Amino acid sequence: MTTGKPAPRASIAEKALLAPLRRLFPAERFALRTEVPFRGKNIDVLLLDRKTRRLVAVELKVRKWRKALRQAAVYQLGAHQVYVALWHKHVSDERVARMSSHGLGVIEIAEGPRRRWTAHVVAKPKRTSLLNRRYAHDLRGEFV
Amino acid sequence: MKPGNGNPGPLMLLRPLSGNKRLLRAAEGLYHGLHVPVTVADFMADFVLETDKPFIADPSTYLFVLRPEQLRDPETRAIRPVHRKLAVGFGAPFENVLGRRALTVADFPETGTAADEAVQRVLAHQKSKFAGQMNLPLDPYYSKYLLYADQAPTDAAPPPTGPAYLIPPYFPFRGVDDPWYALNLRLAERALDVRAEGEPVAPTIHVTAKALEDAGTVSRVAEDYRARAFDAFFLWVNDLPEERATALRLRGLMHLVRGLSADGRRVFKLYGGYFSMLLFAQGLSGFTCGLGQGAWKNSYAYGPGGGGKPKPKFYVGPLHRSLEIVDAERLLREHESLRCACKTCQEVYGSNFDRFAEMGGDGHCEEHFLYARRAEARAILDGGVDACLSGLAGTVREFGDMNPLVLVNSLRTWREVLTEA
Repeated sequence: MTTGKPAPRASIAEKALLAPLRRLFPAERFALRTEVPFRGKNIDVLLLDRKTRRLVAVELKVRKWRKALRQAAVYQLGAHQVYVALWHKHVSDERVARMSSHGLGVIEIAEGPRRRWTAHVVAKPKRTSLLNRRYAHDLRGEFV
Repeated sequence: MKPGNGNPGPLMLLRPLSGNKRLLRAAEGLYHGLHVPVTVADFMADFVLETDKPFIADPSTYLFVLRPEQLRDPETRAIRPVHRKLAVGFGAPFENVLGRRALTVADFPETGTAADEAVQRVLAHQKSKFAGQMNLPLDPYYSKYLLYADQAPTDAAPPPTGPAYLIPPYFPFRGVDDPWYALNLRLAERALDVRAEGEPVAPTIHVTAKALEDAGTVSRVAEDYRARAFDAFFLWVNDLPEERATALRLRGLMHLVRGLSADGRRVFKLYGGYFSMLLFAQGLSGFTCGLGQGAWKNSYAYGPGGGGKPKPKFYVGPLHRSLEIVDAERLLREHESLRCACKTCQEVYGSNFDRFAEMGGDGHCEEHFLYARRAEARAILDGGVDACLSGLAGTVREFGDMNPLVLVNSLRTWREVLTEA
């Protein structure tokens, strides 16, 4: 995690963040869908916990964290937990605090040992009262 | 400014879509009049007649300075029938250039009768399209439609026939040195000569937003137009969404409104939002808008893509802006102070936000917008603009700069501009 200083422009594709995310939410436990239509928007990654039937939405963004926050906040209407996943260079304490204050979780993606990208949870999502049960029901339908 | 008795407040002229007819029939008391393009389909023209409201028939002559391909059907590549019909109605030079090139200033020669004849046909087309409609005046506003009065008015005089004002041909201009500016003025002036006796003429001043940044341009435009015997003015600042406009441009707009209305003549803004309502205290008589959207327009962005039925948007009263329904739901669920208690909201979802998405159907968002607008107009009438500006300050204080989900920058800018006034 970095602090303060503006991060340099990254040339990492959002799609590239998907593989480490999959390792964080393993297939044995989570069913995964990408680009899931949601009330006129698209959820980058939607996961269904096979055990609890709870939905997890993830907004992938390399660097535009404000935009990510705005988009992810809407997914709180349909998913039980919502994360913003950012490239580590664009994660800071202040940004994590801002996203947490809206109930969003934050996932940091960085290069780990043997140049393998890894994802880890920097902040867990908070429980909110924003869920619309109809939307959650519709989103579960994506996994049928 | 606190309007006196009988003052209807800022007049709202709606730009209806065909899907709004049922709602507007039922919501007679929630709007003052209509703004329709003269290209409107005949069934919509009939609807305009049916409403018994004052209206303006926008000649939309700006279409003819666009690139010809913008007027073509994207699939067939043929000029759209609606534009062909309009060109035929207007005659030369509109008809001559259609599909070949954009109009130029030279198409309206200063000598001879061609320009006069063109102006005459543009005015006549506005009347003939709506033949049979009573001319219900906006000045004074036809008192049958005093929306916020407690009692039915008694002084309604039988009006003549036709639109509330006739609009001379108009085209966008970038500044007072732009040849289109001089042409606009000349054509509008000719309209005063060729109109029939008693027909009110109000030119449309279709200026770029950037031109408002120059104080000299603003005062010159106001002086030039005010120096001529027009009955009122329509102001269309191209591509100026009020919630994203800079203070500099909004200040320019305010000064232009003040300048044009300095001698008491009416000024209406085409495509306006809440900032336009607040300009009431600066001399703006009214504005036009769609139902929940269409509070700004870029004439250069016309066709061939786009079009189609716009997605309904929910007007968030305290923020004075429309949002996509799902974005609005997110905000309203979290912030009680942004919620709405209008009749429509009560009936459709009440306190059950799981039903909020139903606002997207059956014209609910549009009806809610009319109630929200009435509440805004009442607030201006009852408390005055100063109280409304205090309300904006309160919302800014509540959400501040640190909440990227609730955008209040525009409220701060509007207040700053109008407080300086």
